[in-house]
Amino acid sequence: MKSNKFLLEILAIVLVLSVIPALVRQQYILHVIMLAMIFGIVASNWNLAIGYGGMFHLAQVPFFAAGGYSTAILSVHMGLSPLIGILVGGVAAVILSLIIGIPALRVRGIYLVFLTFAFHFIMLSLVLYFVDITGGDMGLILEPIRIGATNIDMFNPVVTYYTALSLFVLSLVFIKTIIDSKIGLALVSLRDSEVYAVSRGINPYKIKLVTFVLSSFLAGVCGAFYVHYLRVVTPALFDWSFLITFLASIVIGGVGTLYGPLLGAFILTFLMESLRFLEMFRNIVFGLLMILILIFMPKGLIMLANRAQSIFSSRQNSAGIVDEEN
Amino acid sequence: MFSDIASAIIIGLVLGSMYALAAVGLTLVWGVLKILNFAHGGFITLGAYFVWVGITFLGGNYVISFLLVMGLTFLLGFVLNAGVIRPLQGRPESETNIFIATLATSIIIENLIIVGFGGRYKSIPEMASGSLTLGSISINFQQMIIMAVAPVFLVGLMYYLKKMKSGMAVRAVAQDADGAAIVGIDSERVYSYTIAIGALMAGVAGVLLGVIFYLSPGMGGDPLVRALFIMVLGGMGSVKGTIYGAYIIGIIDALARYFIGMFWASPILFVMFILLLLLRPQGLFGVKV
Amino acid sequence: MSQKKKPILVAEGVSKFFGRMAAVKDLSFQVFEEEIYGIAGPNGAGKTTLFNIISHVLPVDNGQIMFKDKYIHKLSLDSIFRLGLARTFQIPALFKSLTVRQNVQVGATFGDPEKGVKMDKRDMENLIDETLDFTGLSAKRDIIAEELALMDRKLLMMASALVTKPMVLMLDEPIAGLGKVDSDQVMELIRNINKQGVTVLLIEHIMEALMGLSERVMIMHHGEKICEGKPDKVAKDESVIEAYLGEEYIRHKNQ
Ligand SMILES: Nc1ncnc2c1ncn2[C@@H]1O[C@H](COP(=O)(O)OP(=O)(O)O)[C@@H](O)[C@H]1O
Ligand SMILES: [Mg+2]
Repeated sequence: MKSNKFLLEILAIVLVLSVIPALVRQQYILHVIMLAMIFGIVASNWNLAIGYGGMFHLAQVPFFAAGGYSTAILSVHMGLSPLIGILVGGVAAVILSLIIGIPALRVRGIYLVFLTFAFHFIMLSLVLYFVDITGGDMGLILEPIRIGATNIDMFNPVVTYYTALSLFVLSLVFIKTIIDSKIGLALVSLRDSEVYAVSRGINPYKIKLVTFVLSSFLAGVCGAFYVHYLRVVTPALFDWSFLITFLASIVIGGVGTLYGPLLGAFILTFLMESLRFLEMFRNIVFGLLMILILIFMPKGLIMLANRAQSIFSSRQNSAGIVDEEN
Repeated sequence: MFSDIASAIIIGLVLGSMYALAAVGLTLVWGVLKILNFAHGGFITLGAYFVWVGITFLGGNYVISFLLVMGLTFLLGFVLNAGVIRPLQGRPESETNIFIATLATSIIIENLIIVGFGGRYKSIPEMASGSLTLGSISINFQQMIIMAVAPVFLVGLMYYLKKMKSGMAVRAVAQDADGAAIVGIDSERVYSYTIAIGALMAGVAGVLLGVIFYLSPGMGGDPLVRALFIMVLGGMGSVKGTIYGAYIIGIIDALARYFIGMFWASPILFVMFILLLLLRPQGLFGVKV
Repeated sequence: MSQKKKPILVAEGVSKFFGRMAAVKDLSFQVFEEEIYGIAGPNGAGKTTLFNIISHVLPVDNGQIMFKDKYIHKLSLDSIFRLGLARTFQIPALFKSLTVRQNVQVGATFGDPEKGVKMDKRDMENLIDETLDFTGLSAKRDIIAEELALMDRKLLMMASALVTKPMVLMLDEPIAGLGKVDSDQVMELIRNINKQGVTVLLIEHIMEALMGLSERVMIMHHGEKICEGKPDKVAKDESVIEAYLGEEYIRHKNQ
């Protein structure tokens, strides 16, 4: 029954998002929706670690950037196909998340924040230092890629839109599967009472590491996709505005909810785009709005809109035996 | 070789002085409010630009410009508290919210500076020219001034916390907020003073950084990360530990710049930071929790 | 009687310090297979701390702990549980946002009931249902745990341990705070658990319950063992009466 409900929700989302290109002819709007989907994926996977896993960390932007840089470097220097490149982006993020996660998840709270904050800077300095590989400040330009022998750009608006939509649905299913699995059960237990959860056989380090690593994969994939779409990679991928956008999507949408970060990402991306006319003042106004939203919508939109609904669904959450996978 | 090391150590003390000022404010705010103020880097930048404005438009008087910086950053500290931090405190997700909101504040500051002054590098005219030479080591007057100014502020802060009534209230709240409330200390007031003092210290650090380095809208980022490192090294919330930590980091920073290369100083410090967090998160002087 | 049985849990000279205070001090004892071993002592005697170091909620400072011929004091809380040494907590713990059934499911999923052999889905469901029946929680299976009253919280904490078929179950004051009817039900449950071959370590300061259930009793005082033996013998022991038992037990007995 519960999975039926999820299936219906997914269908509704796919339906709405896939007819939009037919109804809305302005490419610009499609571009914004696509960005919102991509940012929503990164945010909701981050939410897996922050909201469900209770690991507040700042490594998601480096993962996103690592996905972008790895695919760009391989395609510029070695002519790797972007289709494989997008996967490579995900794998790069996973490798990095293991490197940082294995030591870092032994510390907690504020120390994890510091650690991942320093990690961000290290990654950025490496990018700036290895100019020959990364292009340094100037970054790298990616050549357009034609489909087969045609003259059609592989990353044309329609194809990219539907690719982003597929990633969006994939991400939803991915996160839902994790939440409903053994891992999700362990995460809720750990959040409710850590010592008790451990006294019932849960290895918290293992569970947290697995969650951390899983939540990095699609961030890397999205970073790679984003870079191929823009056809350029620069250190701007490490910009704090990404961090704020992703994080605020989670908080504004609703921490620890399935749809909240997606909703948050849509609102923020549209907000950000609608402020374009402000030019130089855009970031200032965006920052101010962000603070106001935080102050006046403390609980997140999902909670506000669907209070009763969310209580209901949390009761149903992962009822029954979980799958033996994972 | 000896003179190299000696010069590096002098630079290290200069850097350490600036880092100490940059970090004490952060530490103080953490110690009292248990929040991380990521707008701190923005306030460092503000200090540097305010002093540049003062010197450029108000006839180049360093002393007046300096006082201007102190006054403005102190006041803006109150604004930061009233407008951003206090409304978010004591809520369920307050840590995350304050983190985002203060980071948003620093983005606002950075962009205000871009709008007001443009993104190009600026420099502040020298405070004093000339240098003192002792054998093969030379110290310029600017460096000497920095090494002298920082301790004045640090000692002043310590004096304030130890001896003055409102300073003692700050310490009381830091140690035991509930207890302080029972004794009748208005913690809201203490919070806003603490943030304002932290902002003032950031501003002063910005002035000194601006004297030595170029000014740019994002200049507060690097000192902020160093300040975080120093804060952990000093044992999270200990002002004294932070000051020791700052000079240690300053010297390591200078040695790295001198012997390994300008570029590598930051990555080396970041790696050391990570090692510190993993191996001794309670810091050099802190007690194990 | 217990002499014929093998020891299953052995503590050798264990100590635990908080600052300079020894909460548990150079304590040694053995628990034999399939017995109910009671632990009593005044408040602050170190009983809970003893459970905490056996289960490795806290690391032991000195001494060794052996479970089934294996030293366990260096193992972690979760792996000790998976080996078959389970415990409950004095202040009832629960997974408040999960249902009663899911609370038990956590134990079944992570507690390795078949000791290394993966259980199939159906078997695990059955195991959970049996455990809910056994502890009398079947009717409340779909209630969110946060809404449970004290008695059910205590039962649920036992159920999430029992579902893993532990060899030893350590109960920290399972009866304290309950009314007469509930106490009797819990005592009956403890007997039934023991009848299934589970060794029970029982901390309880309701003396009738402890003396009635236990085959042997250890009395702790200031972190040390001051007496050990059959309940009736211990009840008469001078030092025990002096330390603590006296008034309370005698008062209860005379009622
Ligand atoms: N985590 C702890 N930190 C410091 N002291 C503790 C801690 N746990 C227990 N104590 C102290 O150790 C002593 C023994 O406590 P406890 O084991 O809970 O006693 P009991 O369960 O027999 O009542 C008490 O003095 C208690 O205050
Ligand atoms: Mg106790």
